[in-house]
Amino acid sequence: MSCSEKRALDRRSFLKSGMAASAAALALPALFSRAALAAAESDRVLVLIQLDGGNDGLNTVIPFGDDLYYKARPSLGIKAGQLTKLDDHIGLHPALAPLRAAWDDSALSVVQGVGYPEPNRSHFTSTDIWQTASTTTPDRWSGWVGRALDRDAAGREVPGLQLDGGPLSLALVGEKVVVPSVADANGFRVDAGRRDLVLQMAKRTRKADNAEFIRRSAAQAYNTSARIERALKDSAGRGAYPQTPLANRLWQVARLIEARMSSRVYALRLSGFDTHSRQGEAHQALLAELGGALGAFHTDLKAKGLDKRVLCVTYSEFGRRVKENRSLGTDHGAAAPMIVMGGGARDGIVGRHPRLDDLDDGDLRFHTDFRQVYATILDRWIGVDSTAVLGSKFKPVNFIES
Amino acid sequence: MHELLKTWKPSKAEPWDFDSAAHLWRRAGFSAATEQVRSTLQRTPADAVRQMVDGPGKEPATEELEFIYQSVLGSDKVDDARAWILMRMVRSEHQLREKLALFWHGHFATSFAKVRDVGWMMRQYRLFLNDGLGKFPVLLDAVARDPAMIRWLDNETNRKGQANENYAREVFELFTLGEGNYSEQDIREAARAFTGWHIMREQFHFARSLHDRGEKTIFGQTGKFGGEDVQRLALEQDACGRFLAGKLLRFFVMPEPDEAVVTSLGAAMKKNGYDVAATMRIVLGSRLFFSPQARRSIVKSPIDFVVGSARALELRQTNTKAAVPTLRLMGQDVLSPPNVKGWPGDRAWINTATWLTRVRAARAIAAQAKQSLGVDGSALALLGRPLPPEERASLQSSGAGSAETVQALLTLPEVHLA
Repeated sequence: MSCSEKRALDRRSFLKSGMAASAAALALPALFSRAALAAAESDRVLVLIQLDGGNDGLNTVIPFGDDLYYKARPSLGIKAGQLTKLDDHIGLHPALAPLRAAWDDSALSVVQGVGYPEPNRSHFTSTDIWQTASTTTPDRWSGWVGRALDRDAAGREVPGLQLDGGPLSLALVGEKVVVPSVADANGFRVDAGRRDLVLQMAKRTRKADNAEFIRRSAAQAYNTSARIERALKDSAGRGAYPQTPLANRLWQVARLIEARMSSRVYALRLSGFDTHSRQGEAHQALLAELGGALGAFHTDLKAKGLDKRVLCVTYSEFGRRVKENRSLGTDHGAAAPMIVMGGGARDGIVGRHPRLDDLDDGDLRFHTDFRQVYATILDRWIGVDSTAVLGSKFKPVNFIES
Repeated sequence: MHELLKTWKPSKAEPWDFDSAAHLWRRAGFSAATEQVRSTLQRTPADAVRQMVDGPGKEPATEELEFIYQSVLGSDKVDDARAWILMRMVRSEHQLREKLALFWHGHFATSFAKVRDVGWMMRQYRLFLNDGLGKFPVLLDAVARDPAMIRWLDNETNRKGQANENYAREVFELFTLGEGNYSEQDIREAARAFTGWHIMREQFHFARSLHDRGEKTIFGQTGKFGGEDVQRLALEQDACGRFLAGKLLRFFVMPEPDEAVVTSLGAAMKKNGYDVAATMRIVLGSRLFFSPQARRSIVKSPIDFVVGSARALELRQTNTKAAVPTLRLMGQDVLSPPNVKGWPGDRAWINTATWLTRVRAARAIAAQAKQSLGVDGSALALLGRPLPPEERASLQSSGAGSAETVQALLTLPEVHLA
């Protein structure tokens, strides 16, 4: 079956569902233009994974070749023999061993020493800084991804999707687009009862800011619901993923990409990285959830021939202090690495590991501004002018093929 | 005082009408049945506001609510505690007290997810009910000694020589001043002042030997400060009035209040000793509050939507326990705010998933609604004004049954604006 035939079939079965029909008739007729119905095959997708709470970067990408590491981490330090070594100095935490396959496929990058000047150690402020891509603007209310989607995704059925059960990330808040957030795409059903009436009522709104906002959100909700329900009907391949919430969500993301849903960005969140005490086990479990899910995702996408279209990027509001604390944990710090996986990633370690003998008040010094990483993603992957989104020009970092 | 904070006087152009009284009930409480809105209309606006703030005096439901409180207190069923809070909101006559308790819960956002003790969470919520309309400094001090808070922000581990900055940071950033109005140095010193504020046998306990009695310098002042001094020093900052005024205005009046109004209210609060009742009299009686810009300007929280619809449609026997999981899906799980910053509110409430949950809840609410209200009666109760003719016509031509009509009404965008 050719692509255009398949698309036509998709379109017919889509129209068959009563909900889609009423949505088309009443709310969003423009959606049925071909361009909006599905993503083009060349469309590249970004999967953004937030490591919420401040991931201990130093125990994620580990400079085992440096004695100072073991001095600063007498209890939490991980022995060189247990690591997945990337070169003679750097290794990944043992729980990230499932990333080995991506590394061997030349589809994994580690961008080291990422941060920003005068690091803020409040979870909320620093998360806001990362998500808005602004360290100064007082009026922070739109996110870097949201602003990029404003420029790219006009007319797309679902411009992006947050899939993590949390409140909508500030990163995804745009000036025009509304990015939906769902906990589990399977629970995404609305009783068909009087949907047409509901839609009709939602359509008629006198002009008022928040009322218009709700109307738009409602119309989009009904529409997305139908689309996601279809994409997840078949649970094929679920067994190859670990039984964890993150893996389950990445499996869903893979299905939505395979179904050519129009989203350019999927945002997920893994929480619990605020490891002030007894960090060892908790951090191990978190990285195992991350590594296992990403490893399975890579294998799945590769088998489906989709790996070249998908780029995964992890980020966290800050790293942690170099020296472990007296509660066998670590406190809020500064610079940390970002892990990049996918067909667009250049294999390798990008930038040097921040020096352990030249700290900034006990923290690692950053050498790469996180907005350089964003600019690279925007210009080289999403294809949206980074200067417009970030407000100024940031020098790209070589972790994606130009 | 700023012009817009002066007492509102109704006029021909802006009369004291059903819509105004319904607006007052939506904001100062969780809406009201049509009959109750009409009886409020019999008073002057100033009188109506006074009654919202002072309460009706006698509470018919007190005994039953107290019985529920006592029986849930020792249990491990946190959803029962949540149902108790929601039942208070539905039944309580002193609606502003309930609304402010929810406001303070969001302000001093503490989560069961970490505290893991139902009784502690309920006792903290009770603090907001009891002291929420009093003087803020009293509330602030009570919160600092509240076991749930001490556990939530790790003050149990804050001791001399090994300060834990968590509580001190949030006192400045989230409870009194807001970001940008203190230095990292102030936080480090304030943390030392709170060393030894611990818990023993489920009560606040000042561990004298773990308290750092040395000199501290906070906001340029030096002394052998304790936690009480940190609170006093924070309350002396102009930023404190502004911060609290801004939060109250955003919660009770409009999403983006004018900076000049915030500053003016902040100064008034500082002057009246942060008296919440006096402040609420100003806010709820103001020109700004009754202005057209303020009405229906805030996206209803899930609780506003669910509890407010139940009250407006006179579903007094609402099973509030059944509402708990629904509210959770809508993003408002009382006793488990998303983080120490509380619920961001307004537009953040609405996304695809939460909207679909609201639609599902609308169906459940409509199924229990009184048939006798009819389309027009239900619309008036939910909207505060009659249904616009165009919408009325579309509802009637749909030929839907009564419950379906009410469901459709409940999904009108306007019903989701407070």
